[in-house]
Amino acid sequence: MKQTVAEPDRSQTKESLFAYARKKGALAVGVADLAEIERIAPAGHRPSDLMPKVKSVISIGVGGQTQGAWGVTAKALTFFGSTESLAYKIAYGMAYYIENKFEVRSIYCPPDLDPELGARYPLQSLKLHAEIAGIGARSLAGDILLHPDYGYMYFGSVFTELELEPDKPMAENPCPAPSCVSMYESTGRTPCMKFCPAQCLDGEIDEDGNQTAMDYDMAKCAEMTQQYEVVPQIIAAAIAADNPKDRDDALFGGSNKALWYKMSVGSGGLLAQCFECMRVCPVATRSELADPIRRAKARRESSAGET
Amino acid sequence: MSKKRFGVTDEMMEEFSDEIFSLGLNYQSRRGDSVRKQDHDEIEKQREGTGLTDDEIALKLELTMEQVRYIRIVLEHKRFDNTNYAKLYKLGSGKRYRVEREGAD
Repeated sequence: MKQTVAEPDRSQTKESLFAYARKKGALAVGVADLAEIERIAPAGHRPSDLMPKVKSVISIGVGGQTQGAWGVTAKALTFFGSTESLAYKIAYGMAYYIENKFEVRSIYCPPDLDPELGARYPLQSLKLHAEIAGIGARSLAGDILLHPDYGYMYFGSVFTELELEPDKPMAENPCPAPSCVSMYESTGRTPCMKFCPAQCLDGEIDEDGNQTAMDYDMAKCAEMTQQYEVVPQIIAAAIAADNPKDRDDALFGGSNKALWYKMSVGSGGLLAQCFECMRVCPVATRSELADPIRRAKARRESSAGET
Repeated sequence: MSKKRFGVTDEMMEEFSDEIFSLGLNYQSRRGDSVRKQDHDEIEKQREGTGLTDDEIALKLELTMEQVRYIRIVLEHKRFDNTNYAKLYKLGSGKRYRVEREGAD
């Protein structure tokens, strides 16, 4: 007799997936409206371009670094500031979890660059998935997504042929924070704009404290954050050098030599290395559940309230 | 990747460089909060500002996607100033970047 798998209950299924993600360390999870993403993302970068029979996009957000990390040198933060690997790990696991539990095809959405397009176009926008899933809103800091409770997060996505009820984008945008509006009113700039070492951020805030314009010079930002782009430059300079000293300078001079270290250990220190805009962002650093200390305090207060 | 293979000439590089560089993701301008608000008219209106794909740029400039891609990638490499990164070595632990200090060290 042919065995059939019972159609899973959509809300229970969703709850089970969210519980899985939270158990593994996610702070926020949402299901993005697939039709919305398909409409907004450009051709070639839509979920169906990657997985033709996709029915749902699940976005997973994990917390940023510890509270202590915001106080260290930028030099150190370049190596451990990003926490995206946890988001990817949970997304990877969830794809297996869905196939194992619900017997429906699923994939971990690769967060990587489109190999046909150089160093600046991703295969998919995980940011768009998270925004449509309602777990982040665009900030004045180059559209980095922020969450009103968790602040600055990293995201991973899962594509699945499971049909899930989509969530809605956030009703309000937590950026700019009231203190940033005050600073903007008196100086014309917010902390992220003022303290960016590449001076790549600009924007405007209206009299109600809402963003009206965000201007981001991503090419300038890349000079601080995408150090992998320097590697071919160094090799080209070494090849073009017309004497051994210049060749040595190109390959081994100053911080260039550190690139070989970062590459050989597979260090995250080659990408997304500058945190100066987030270091001064009150949403990223001081939201109620922005770091483990704040989350522990909230848990403690919540359990004290229950007893 | 070969310039000749895609029919990219020096004149083409000269004529389209700035436009291709800025129409891609290198500069991003957003007005309002249209994606979060799912305001599709506004999203469509702002596509050029928020960044086009090589296919979209090619359509606009009447070039092929391969020509746009070649020119864009070469420019992204040429315009990348790898000396800026050293600014990070002086920041953190209470010290923040100040534009007025630039050149003072």
